[in-house]
Amino acid sequence: MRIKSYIFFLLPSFTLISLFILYPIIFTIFLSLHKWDGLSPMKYVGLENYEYIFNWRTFWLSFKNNVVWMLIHMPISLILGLALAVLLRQRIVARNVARTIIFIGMVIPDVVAGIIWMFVYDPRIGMVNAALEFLGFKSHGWLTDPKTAIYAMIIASIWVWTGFTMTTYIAALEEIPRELYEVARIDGASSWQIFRHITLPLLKPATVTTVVLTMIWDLKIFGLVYVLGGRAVPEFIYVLAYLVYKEAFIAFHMGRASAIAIMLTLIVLLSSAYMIRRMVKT
Amino acid sequence: MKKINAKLVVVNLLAWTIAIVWLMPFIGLFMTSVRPFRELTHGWWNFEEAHFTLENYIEAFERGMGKYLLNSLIITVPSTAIPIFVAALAAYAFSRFSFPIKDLLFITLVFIQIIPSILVLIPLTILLREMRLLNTIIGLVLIHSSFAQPWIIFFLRNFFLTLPKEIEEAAKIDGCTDFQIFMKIVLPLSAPALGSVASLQFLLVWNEFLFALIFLKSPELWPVTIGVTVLSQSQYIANWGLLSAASIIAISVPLILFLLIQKYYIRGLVMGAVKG
Repeated sequence: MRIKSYIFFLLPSFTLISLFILYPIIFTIFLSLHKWDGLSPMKYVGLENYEYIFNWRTFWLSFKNNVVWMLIHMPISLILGLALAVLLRQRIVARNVARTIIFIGMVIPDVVAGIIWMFVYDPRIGMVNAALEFLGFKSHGWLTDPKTAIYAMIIASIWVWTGFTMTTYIAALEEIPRELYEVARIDGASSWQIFRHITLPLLKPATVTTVVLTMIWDLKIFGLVYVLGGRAVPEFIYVLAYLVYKEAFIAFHMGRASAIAIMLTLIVLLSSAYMIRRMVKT
Repeated sequence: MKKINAKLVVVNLLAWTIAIVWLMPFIGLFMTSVRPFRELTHGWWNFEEAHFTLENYIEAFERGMGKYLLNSLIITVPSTAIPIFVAALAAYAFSRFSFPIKDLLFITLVFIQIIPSILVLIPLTILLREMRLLNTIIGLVLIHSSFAQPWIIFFLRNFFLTLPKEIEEAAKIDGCTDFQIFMKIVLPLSAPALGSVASLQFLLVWNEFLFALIFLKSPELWPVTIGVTVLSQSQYIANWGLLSAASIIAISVPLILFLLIQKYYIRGLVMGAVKG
């Protein structure tokens, strides 16, 4: 009787997962070994697609943009998130309103966040350029200049994501027992010493999880690029997820797109190896 | 005492300066949406001549935002309810039964939680086409339901583990089947956890963009995320008022929902992230 029970409980979920996730994963691996435009018969080409992308400038450019994104966005979002968490745990007037404001980026679709920042950077009616002109600098097309576009988008992504890092840090800080601080204070420790030697070490587990989740988010970035790139997303702001989309659904290089998607997945899995190990253990 | 107050003032000033700067882009969006087009050429912060108008909103609704809102709702409600029920069943199995391939299934869940969804978009397009579900809301709901499985299973499994087993054991002795116990005892006891999951999943689906972009081609099926994005790329790009009004409409539902159920939402997010 009991044996039948668990199968019944698991069946709906794993039917969905097998059909719509596991089978498609296998199919993608299969596709990555073929040349296919979505219409004519598939042609087996072995590892040719992988060979192609490894020698393809655009692939490495997209990869580089993801890495740059991660290297800038992650530390800033983390440090800013922690700073805001500490700050917004003080006795602040309407503290919850302030927290909610920082969190807005997490509540809205990232395509709308993209539109909001399109306004901010606009050369004619945007705040950034108006402020610069006021200060005597020249207005600049932040999103259209290949030198600045990626950084402008990274700033937008900090605005979107910092609400998340702040919130996890606030939760982690609340779990630290008050007594620890009181004891340290009685022993004559300064605020900085307490932060450095009690708070920071105790925040390590939360930090590790947040780092991994931030890395995964950075690698999967799509909506912001899609919107901030405008009608024709320029190559200098390509990221891997966007390249997969473009190759698959605009250029119809299904095999190549699959190979890129697999590389992206491997990078994501590698970046989250630590968290996977921990989750598997529980 | 005086020193403490001075510090408090500084901390308050700092916190609120940051909060206001942080809110600026959003205020910009809002101001752009409620002022006439001609006033915006000097920037939304210029109030020399300031008029309030709902023209942009009216135009946004005329250009389909009402329909998109309705579509978002039609997509999001089942994409929240179905995966939660299905995942709750599986989570119950993981928390109460032991079975041979439990570890293998669990590890599978961990992996599919992490892989980017873009990995499977091409096969899913083919699959949905073969099932005659491409370009249908049912197809999209099925995809959302599948991808939500891992995180909801983890979340609810952790919650079910905290529920006392005694009531369930007593019910069993009284002759209840496992399914009855699940429906009549476990689910009602899990109301707060289900609330957290539902609010998180609702916002995730409402804000989702990529699946809808690929699987829904007909404009009459588009959710708000696709609606505003297409608007932002249309020839009316210079019409900032219209675009900002459409954006405000698109985020009104998640924003209001978030303000109403903030506690549930944050708890869900934090439990998912910190414990995850």
